[in-house]
Amino acid sequence: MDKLDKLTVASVIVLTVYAAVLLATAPDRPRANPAEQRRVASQQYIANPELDNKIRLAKNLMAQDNLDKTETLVNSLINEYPYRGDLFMLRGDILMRRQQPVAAMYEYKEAIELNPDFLDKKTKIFQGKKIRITVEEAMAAIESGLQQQPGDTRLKSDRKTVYYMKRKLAGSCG
Amino acid sequence: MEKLTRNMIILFILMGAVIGVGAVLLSYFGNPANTGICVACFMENVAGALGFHDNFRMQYLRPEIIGFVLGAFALSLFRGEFHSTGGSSPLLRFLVGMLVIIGCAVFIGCPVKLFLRITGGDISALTGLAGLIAGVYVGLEFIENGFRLGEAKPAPRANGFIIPGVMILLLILAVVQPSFINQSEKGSAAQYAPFLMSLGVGLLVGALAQRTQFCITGGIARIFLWGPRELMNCPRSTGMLISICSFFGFALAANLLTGQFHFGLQGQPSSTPSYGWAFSGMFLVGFGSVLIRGCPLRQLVAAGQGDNDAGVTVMGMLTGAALAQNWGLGSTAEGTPLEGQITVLLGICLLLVIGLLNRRRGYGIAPEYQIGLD
Repeated sequence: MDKLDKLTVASVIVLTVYAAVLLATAPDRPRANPAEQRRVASQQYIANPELDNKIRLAKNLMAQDNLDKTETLVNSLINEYPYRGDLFMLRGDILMRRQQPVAAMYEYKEAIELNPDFLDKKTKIFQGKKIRITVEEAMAAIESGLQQQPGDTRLKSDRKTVYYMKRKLAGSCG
Repeated sequence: MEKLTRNMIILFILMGAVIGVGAVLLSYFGNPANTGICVACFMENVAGALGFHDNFRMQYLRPEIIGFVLGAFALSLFRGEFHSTGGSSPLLRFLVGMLVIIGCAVFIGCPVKLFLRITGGDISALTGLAGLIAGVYVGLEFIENGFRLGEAKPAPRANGFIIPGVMILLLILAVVQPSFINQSEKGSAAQYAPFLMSLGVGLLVGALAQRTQFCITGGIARIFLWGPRELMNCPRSTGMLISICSFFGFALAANLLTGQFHFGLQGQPSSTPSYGWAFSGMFLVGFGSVLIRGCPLRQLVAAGQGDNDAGVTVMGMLTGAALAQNWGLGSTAEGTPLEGQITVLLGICLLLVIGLLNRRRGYGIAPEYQIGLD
C-alpha cells in the first residue's frame, strides 16, 4: 500500500462513519416520498364547488374590510381542508391588510409549499408579485427590528425564512 | 507538437462566446433563470419526458441535449473525425455517469451551469467552484498514480451511430409530440426558449465543442497537470483555458446587457442554503468527471463522435437524472435532503474505491488519459 492507498482507505472510513452518523442522528420525520408528495399536492386541483363558494364569500367579506369574520371563516376552512394552498394565501392576505408582513409571509410560505403554482408564471393562479412585495416588507420590518435588538433569535430565524422565500421567488430548475 | 495559430485562438474564443452568449440568450428567451444550458437539469427533463420519473414539473425533451450530440456528430462526420471506439470499462463509466449527475443535482447544476450561475452574480455558486476544483485535483491524483480504465479499441462503425440515432429519434419525437411523450405544462420544464433557437444553440455548441474538445473539468485538470508555465506551451491546454475564460467573459457581459445579472448571496435562482453540500456535490462531479475523461457536456459530445464508452456514460447520466428525481436527492431552496447528503458521501466513497481498485501502482498516467495532452 502506498501513500495514496492509505489516504484513500482513511477517507472511505471517515466518509462512511460520517454518513452513518448523519443517518443515526437524523430527526425522525414522517417524510413521504416525492411521488407521494405529488399525489397529496394533486388534491389542490380536485374541484370542490362548496369550498369555492365559501372562498368567494371570504373574499367578499375581505373586500368589505370585515377582517374578523373573514379570518374566522378562513380558519375554519383551513381546519377542514389543510392541504389547500389557496386558503393559506387568503390568510396571508388578511394579515397583509392588518399590516403584519412577517406573519403574512409565513402564510404565503405554507401556501406555496402546498401549491407551487402560486409562483409559476405559466399558471392562472400566479401570485409572485404580491408575495414578492410581502417578502420585501417583511425584510424591512425584520431589519428594523434587528437594529433595535441585534441578538433576537426569532428575528434571525424570520430573516432566514425571508432568504428562503427569496430563493423560491427566484425559481429553480429542479 | 502543433502551434497555437491565430485561427485556433479565434476558434477557442468563439467556443466560449457561443456557449456563454447562447446560454444567456436561452434564459432570456424562456429557459429558467441561470439555466440557459444545464446538462444535468436537461437530462432530468428528458428522463421525465420519456416517463422515467413522474415529476410533472420536470418533463420536456430539451432540444439543447439533442443538439449537443447531433452537432458533434455532424461535424465529426464532415471532418472525418468520427471514430467508433469502445471497451474501456463501460459499466464503470455508467456508474460514474450516474453519480456525476446526482452530484450535479445536489449542487443544482452541471459545471456549465456553475459558470452561468457565477456570471449571473450568484456568489453562493463559488462554493461549487471550489468543490469542483478540489474534486478535479483528487481525481488527478489517481490519474497521475496509475489509475486506468483500459484503452478504448476500435468498435464496429455501426455502434458509434447508436447514440446519434437515439438523438435523431428524440428529435422526431420532440417535433411530432406523440401522446406517450410527457410535456410539462407548469414548473421549470414548462419554461423553455423557442424550439429552433434551443436546437440551434445546441447544434452550434456541440459542433464547436467537438472541434475544440471543450471541457470545463478538463480545462481545470490541465492547470493542475501541467502547472501554469508548462500549460502555456501546450496549445490544446491553452486553448481550453481560452475557451473557459471566453465563456466566463461573454456570459458575464451577456448577463449584464440583458439585465439578468443580480449580484448577491441570497435569493439567487437555483440556489441552496446548504453551501457545504453544494461543495460536496461539485466535488463528486469534479472527481467523477476526471476519472471518466470529461464533464457531462463532454460526454454528450464524445458520444456524438462515436465514443461508445461516452455513450454508455450518457445512459448512466440519464439513469442518474431519473434517480435524482424519483428518490428526491436534489437540493432545493430549503436545503439538501438527507437522502442527497448520504448519496453524495457514499458516491465519493464509491469513486475512492473505484480509484483504489483500478490503479496500477508504480505507473504514471495511463495511455488512454494521454490522448490529446500534447
